[in-house]
Amino acid sequence: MVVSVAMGTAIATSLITLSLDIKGKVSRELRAFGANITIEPKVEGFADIAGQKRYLREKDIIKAKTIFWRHNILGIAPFLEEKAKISFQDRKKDVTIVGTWFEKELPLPGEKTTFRAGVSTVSPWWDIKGRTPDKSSVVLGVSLAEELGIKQGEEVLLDGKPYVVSGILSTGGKEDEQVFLDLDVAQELKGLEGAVSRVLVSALTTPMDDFAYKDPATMSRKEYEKWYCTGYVTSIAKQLEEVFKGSRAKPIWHVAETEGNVLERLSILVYLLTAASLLAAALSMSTTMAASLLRRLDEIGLMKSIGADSFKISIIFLSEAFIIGCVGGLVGYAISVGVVKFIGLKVFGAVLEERVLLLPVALVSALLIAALGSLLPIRRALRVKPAVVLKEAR
Amino acid sequence: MEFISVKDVVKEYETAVALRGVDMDVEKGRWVSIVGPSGSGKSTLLNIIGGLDSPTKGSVFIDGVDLGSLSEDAMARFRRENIGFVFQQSHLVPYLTSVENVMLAQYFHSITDEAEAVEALNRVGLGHRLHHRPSQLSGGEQQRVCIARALINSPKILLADEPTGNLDRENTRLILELLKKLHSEEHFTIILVTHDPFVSKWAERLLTMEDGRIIKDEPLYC
Amino acid sequence: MNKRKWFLHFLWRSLSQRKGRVAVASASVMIAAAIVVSALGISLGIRQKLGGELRSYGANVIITPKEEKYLSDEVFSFLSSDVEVEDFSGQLYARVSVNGADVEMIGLDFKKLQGWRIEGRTPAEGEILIGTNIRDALGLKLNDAVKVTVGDRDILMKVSGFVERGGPEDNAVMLDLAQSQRLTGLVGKLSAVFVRVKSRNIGETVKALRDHMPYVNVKTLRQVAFAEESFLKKIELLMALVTLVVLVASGISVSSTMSATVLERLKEIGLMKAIGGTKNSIRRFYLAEGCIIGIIGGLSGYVLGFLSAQAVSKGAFGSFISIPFYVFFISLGMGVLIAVSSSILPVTDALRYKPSSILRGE
Repeated sequence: MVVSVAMGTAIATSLITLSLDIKGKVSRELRAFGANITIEPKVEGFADIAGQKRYLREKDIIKAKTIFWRHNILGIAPFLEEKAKISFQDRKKDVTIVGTWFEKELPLPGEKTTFRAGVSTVSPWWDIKGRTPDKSSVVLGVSLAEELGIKQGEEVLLDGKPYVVSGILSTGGKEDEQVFLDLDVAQELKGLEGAVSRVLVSALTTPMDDFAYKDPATMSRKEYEKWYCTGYVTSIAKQLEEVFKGSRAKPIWHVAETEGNVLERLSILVYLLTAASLLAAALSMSTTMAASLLRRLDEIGLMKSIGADSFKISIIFLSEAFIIGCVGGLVGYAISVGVVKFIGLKVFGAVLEERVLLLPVALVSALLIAALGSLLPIRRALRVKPAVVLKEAR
Repeated sequence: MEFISVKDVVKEYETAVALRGVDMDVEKGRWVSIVGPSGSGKSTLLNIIGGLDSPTKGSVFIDGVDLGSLSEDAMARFRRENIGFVFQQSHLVPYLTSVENVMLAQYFHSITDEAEAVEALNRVGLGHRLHHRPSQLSGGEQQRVCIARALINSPKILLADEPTGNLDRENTRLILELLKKLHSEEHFTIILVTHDPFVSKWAERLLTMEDGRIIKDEPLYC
Repeated sequence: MNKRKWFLHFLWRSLSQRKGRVAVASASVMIAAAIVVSALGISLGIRQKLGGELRSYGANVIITPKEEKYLSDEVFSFLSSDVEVEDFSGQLYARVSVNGADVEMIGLDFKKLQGWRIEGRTPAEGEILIGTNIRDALGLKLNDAVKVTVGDRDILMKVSGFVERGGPEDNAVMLDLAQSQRLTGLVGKLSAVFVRVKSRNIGETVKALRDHMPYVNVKTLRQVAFAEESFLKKIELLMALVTLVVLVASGISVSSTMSATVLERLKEIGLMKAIGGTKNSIRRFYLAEGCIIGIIGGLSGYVLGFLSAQAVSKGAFGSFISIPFYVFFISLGMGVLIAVSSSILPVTDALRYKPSSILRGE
């Protein structure tokens, strides 16, 4: 009987632990889809789309780690997109060159640690055959390389300057047509020191709800504060916009919205599974209890025959259930700690946060399981006639 | 060699010694009673003769067969051919009716034959209780079902362990008269363990046990 | 009556006269089977369900022209016959000028868009949707008239709304695909087709598409395809592990319950042995009984588990889940396995004892 309470508790507690932590863990997994916020120079007038370009300042990037939700910023990468001429042997083409950080450790202001930034933190799906570019090399998009017949290790000219092709990039997107350089190199080539044209940010966010879709401009002061201090993708974008001079930060909606939906579904799923497993545990306890009481019908008959009333007999069996619940709860908790650790490591490669708070939860649910499961069988068992039972038991 | 032959049987349990070297022979068709105070080893001796338990030392021959040489399943087969049991507690299958309990023994023996089972119950005077379950029968009636079951496969030996232990004098007499009648008709061998002098005196021979040994062996003429 | 009939008769007696105990045993098997069926059903169906949610991430395969400037919409007829393709939509790009500013015009199929929050409405005939950057640059307002220049033709169109997607759409103007084709004189032409193929075997599907349409470029969008696959794999693994845990835990708990109900029949076993039952014939009896309980429990457990999986799926995903039929057999098999193993083990155990010690009740 202890076994079935323990197993029930183990399942229920594991699922509760899982459901408490699943949003955090899964939203981290969802970051595999890459950046969910883009920061661009603010568009203010006709000139902005008619050729004249505005830029963001490279030095603002680190400020992203100073905003209220800085700990939610998991990745950030700047991009400087410019037109250039590429030539290889006798072939020439107008292409887009992109300066970026592939992987860069940024020292955090006022702290000893560093923060890893770069393309790998916002676009983990980029597949580079070869090495990332350094001061004298570039990475070519796969379609471009095929079109011009360029292989890794060969030399190309960008605006007349020679670079070695250190790698070939494929993403399936527009990047396949572009040339990638280190940000500093691109800035120098184009004479745009300290300038970037776009910054992509990957941030952990709270799923958007109806409140989050309200236009901040129409919110009351109190609402605005609540909105600002919740990690919605919109409020994080707003805070980023504030630290990047002359910028407009906006959610990449197709990523941000899907993420919210998926998280919502998954957590409902786990809640429902938890509820179902608690119910099942109670039912299974009930059958176990019923089995054990059936075996002890003669005991009940005997107790009745020596004058115990139903109340006293119930108390005896319920206190047994109580002890069973306690022991089962403890054992179940211990098992669930192992199970949750195992699942955390297997699935998320990290240990799920342990919550000591769950010990009482486990105990209470075990007691509930034991009590609920016992009530019915005890009531049934009490209906027996002592004479019949005692005779059959012989 | 006699029909039942027990040779120097010793039975030791972890904490106690039940039999300290028992020798005994029983002729075919006899009714033997074993008496003695509780703990004298008489039930253990009966179980060993019936193959329900095996001796620590010594051997038992029944009709020339060494029980110690039989595997467990062979023992089960030997038992159903040759031995019927009646216990103090009736040990009926609670969810089967009287006639079905008798038929269960037929089932394990060979084939079931309901008419035969009904006939057996008629002979023990239970023709009117064929389709009652054990809980609906009195103690004496349950014991009579057990006798019918024990004898259904025409065993050569009937082993009875305090068959009347739970019964009043009237029922006890009924059971013993029934046994007497069946014994005189079918000539099977009876070994009956009891501590009740009223029961033991129905036998033709009386063995007295004490402390794991047979201390007295006397013929009885009633 | 023959022997088999009597075997069945005894079995029937044992089941029907011990209704309470049989009910308890079947119920516990049923609950275990139900938990397992629903966990299994959900973990098998989760890819499809979550995949549905993830669709709004967009296409995972993109088809672009190779030699020529445009694709023809013949591509559609091929795509709609491929079972691996879940959905597709074509787009047409053209450079146009809006109120004198040179911008990208995207012709697209608004019916296929998911989760676009348009400030305003979907453009109807003669209307145009404006990206927010263009709006800001040109200072446009809802229902303004704009002059769209395509080649050397000027057309007046009404602004139906604005959209911000955080992507290239913000720098473009959008209108219905068919209308854009007519406007540009490119009827039946497309610049790109976005395809959503089933994520499990994306590689093979892409290869098949390439083989059948050598005249176009077929590329996997790694952002969607790979991120999605790795995410779905994680979640599937999660559910699989949860299912495993549930399976083991409920199996253990049920066998402990079942063993308890069998152990109470020790006396019966001893008795059967005393009246001449061989090990096999006794074991056969309990085996058959375990089978029947397992079948009852497995069947009802499947029904219960199926219903609860549907309830959970309806609650979490708003739609029912399709549970493969073999889960039924798993449920049945599991029920029988648990019931038989947990009744036969104690019986085998009991058969090892001497009948004398069982009958004396030690």
